[in-house]
Amino acid sequence: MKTPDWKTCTEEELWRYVAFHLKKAGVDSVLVGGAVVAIYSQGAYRSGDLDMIVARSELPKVDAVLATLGFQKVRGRHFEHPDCAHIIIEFPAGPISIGDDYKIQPKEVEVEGSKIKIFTPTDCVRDRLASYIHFDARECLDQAVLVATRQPVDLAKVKEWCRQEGGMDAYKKFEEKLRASGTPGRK
Amino acid sequence: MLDEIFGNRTVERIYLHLFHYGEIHARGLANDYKASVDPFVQQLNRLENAGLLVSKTVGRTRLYRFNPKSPFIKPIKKIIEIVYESMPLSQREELFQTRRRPRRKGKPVL
Repeated sequence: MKTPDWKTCTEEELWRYVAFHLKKAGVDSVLVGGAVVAIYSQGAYRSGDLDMIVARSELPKVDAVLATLGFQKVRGRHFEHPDCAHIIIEFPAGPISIGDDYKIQPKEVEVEGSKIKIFTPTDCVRDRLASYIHFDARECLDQAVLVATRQPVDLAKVKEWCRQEGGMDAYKKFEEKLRASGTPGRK
Repeated sequence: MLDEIFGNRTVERIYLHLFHYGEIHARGLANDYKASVDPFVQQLNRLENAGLLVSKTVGRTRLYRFNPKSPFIKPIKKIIEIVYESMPLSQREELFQTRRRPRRKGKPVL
């Protein structure tokens, strides 16, 4: 696979490159967090990091693969590439979950014959709303709207999850903003 | 994962304090237990890396709380609640005697 331009690559280009090489080494990863917003918003939002979840038992393999790609482990589970100052990679602890929901089915994307995984647009919206509900992070509400205006999102599933998470006020705000944007994405 | 969730006596103290106060910092824990701050810092970091706690800096203090986005937190809190509620009130009053809820500046403590 072609090496990305380290100085200018997007979150999506870097994710495809790293996830592809992890998969080649037998490591399944799932992209979560803000980078998913960057990808689904086609760059309207830039996260500056990739959060990738892998099984805990695979972390030694992750270290080895990232080292061969030129990354340096800086602290804990963070990696930086000396030529890529604008995006860092982190491997947060699993499991893959959105609030209390840990039965997540990520979307598979084919890259040169390998399948790599990422949150679906609906799960990306739920993940952003989780941060808004639990951390009062208003920017995450905006990110949820950004994704929902550009991608097909299962709004009924988002609403039901918000209800279970105790976040119906957050859902109402999300719905208002989505309506105001004039281009609600629906599945 | 279970080793990361449970751990040791220091973790138990952290859990109980978080359950009682909602948020906590390493120095506060060390003061309340009249113990060294280092083991608390170490375990708080470990629990944060495991995704069980989240933290933020307020002034020069790192404040920790349960990660509400973790699917483990509700069941963990249920277990802590059993331990907490089974403690005699006198023991709870002794352990959690430091007042940390909001108090108007200058209001005297009687």
